[in-house]
Amino acid sequence: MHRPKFNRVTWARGRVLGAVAGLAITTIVACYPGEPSNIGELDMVTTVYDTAFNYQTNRTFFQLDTVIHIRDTANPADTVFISRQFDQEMINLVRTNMVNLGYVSVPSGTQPDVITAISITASRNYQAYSFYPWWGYPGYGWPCCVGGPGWGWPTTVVTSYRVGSVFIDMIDVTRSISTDTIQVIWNGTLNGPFEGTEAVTAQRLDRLFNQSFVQSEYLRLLAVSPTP
Amino acid sequence: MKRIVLALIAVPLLSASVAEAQGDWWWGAEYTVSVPLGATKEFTDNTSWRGATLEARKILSQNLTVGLLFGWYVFDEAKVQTVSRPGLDVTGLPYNYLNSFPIQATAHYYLGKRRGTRLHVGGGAGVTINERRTDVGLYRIQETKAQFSVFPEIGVSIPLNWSLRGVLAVRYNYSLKSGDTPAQEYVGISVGLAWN
Repeated sequence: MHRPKFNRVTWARGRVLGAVAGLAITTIVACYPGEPSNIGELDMVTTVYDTAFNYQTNRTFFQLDTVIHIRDTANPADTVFISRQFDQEMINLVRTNMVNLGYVSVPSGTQPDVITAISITASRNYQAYSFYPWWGYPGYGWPCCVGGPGWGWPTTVVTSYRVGSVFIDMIDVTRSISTDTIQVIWNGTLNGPFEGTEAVTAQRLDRLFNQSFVQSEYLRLLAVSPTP
Repeated sequence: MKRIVLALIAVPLLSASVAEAQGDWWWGAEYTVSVPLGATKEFTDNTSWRGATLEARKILSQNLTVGLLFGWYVFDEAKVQTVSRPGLDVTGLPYNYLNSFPIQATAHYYLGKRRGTRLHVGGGAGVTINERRTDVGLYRIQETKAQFSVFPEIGVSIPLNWSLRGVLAVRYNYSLKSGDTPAQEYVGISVGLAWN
């Protein structure tokens, strides 16, 4: 192939080709992969336990029949109302998981080895971000491109969302009496956006409560309930 | 991120002006698929289907070029994980991302006739900016490190006309460990066009 002398048209074509190829490729890269596709993917389950405590010494438990709703009385404006719609379901989930681990539920008035209690709180978070709408505001690209595509002015968006946390506490009754302080020997914290439909919320609660016990296999009473 | 996009678009435009003034250069734009290895694979296990490589090569002789390479490769992984520490277990769905931006000087040696299909071997060295990010729950952990990096390369280019070639290249990219940031490594397979 004979190469002609430098030709401005050909060179310009090459430059355009390069720009188009660069634009096409970088556009492909800019499509960011794998963002969360549903609200439940933002949930987290954290469990904390006492490494020195022998959980095998426990046999019985008592589940408080009321979910404690924690409110920020110092800043009532930030308080997010929490419905009691799911309280009983949460209580049932803890009770079921405890029984599955080998614990025996005792009635009120009988001293158990541990008490399990559920509390819940929610707050409102605000998020603000700005972005430049690319080529999105025809006519707004002053001073360079009146009437044509421009870079547009930055747009600022403020969103707010509710964040909720559910705490499951396991309290050692004997130690609490002897020390006169509440001795929490296990805690599960379920954290995530406090949003979603009733059905989705019920599913998330079910999954998160069960997960907190699944990842706490050391709570299982081996003499009573061998590992399944 | 948009500034990086603009920079990558501007490179061929700006460099073309330099080419006109300085003589015989080849320019390249490639789509790159990358397979993670080592610590990169541990962090982001998925094959990266989002990658771009831009190159400028100055022809020193019939068989030798030197030049510059810019790249942008995006890796990701999302997998439910439970992280355990003494007295603590945390379960969530972390989204791990690695944005890798190599900026490297290159040298290539070519086999075959100048106007025919040519095999080439080469390599490069420079800096790779690796941005590692984890989004889990409502939290984000991000770390950006510039790491010294090298790559060997083997490839082939096929003439499409007197000033345009189709290019296929395979590069093994290795960024050296820097502080607490582990070495990053992946194999990139690039297809694209080169022109002068």
